[in-house]
Amino acid sequence: MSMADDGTNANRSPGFKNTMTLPELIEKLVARDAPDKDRAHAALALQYLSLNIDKVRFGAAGHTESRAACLARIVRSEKSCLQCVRGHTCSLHTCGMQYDFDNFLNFLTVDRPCQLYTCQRPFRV
Amino acid sequence: MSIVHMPEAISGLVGMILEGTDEATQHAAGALAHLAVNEEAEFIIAHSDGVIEALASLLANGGEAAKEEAAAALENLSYSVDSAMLVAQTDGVITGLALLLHTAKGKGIEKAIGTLQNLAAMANCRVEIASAPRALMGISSVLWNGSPRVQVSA
Repeated sequence: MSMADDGTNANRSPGFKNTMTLPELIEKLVARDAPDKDRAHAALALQYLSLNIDKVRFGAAGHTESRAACLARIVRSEKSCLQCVRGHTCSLHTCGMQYDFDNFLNFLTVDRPCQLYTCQRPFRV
Repeated sequence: MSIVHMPEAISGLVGMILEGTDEATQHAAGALAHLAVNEEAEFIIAHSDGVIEALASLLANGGEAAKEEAAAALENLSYSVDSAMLVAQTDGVITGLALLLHTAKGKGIEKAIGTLQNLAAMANCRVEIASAPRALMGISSVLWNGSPRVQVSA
């Protein structure tokens, strides 16, 4: 995914900001007159944002851990931001998943600082 | 405020599943799947109007990737007994999952069999699963041909 000169993403409409609050994102999601590609981006942003969850259930009999749960556990246990774990292979499990989120998090605003690698960057990048 | 505590977020995702492009429906169902990993969120989502019906519709009419995400969402929405009952009672879910066992590949099969496993934990669902068209054949096929992980679920 490439970024245009004006800071907007080439795959989104010019009016689709790189930084959005959650309410703004949802507003985009439900806007029926918005371009399909923007609504799809909003849904994808929510999909990745939804990985940042506090409580995940593990270990129930016969219930395997989903990829999302695996990632949520990374974020939760290592107190990392998704940006920092991007490109790293999962080290907690044997799933071999390599994190690749492109730059969808660029337009999400979350206020908790990243603590992985002590970068202390906020989630917003 | 979290995503699931914003009713317009859930209804927006449902709307996206019902009327979005194939790519958008995939992302929307994926968002529901991820959110439903949380127990409180599972309850809220399962009890939100139209969610399970929309996912059942996606199982029947979505693209391959969207079907996988729908099955993943249903798997996470069928973890608790309360929400699992809602999933099991929704028309098209069990038959859609059974069909997915025959038509899907890797992840789709894994999610479909995982959901059926969750539903089969409830005694009153077992007969319904067993009597669904091609369900037992699909489960047998997974037993014979699936990965070790899905064989356990089967």
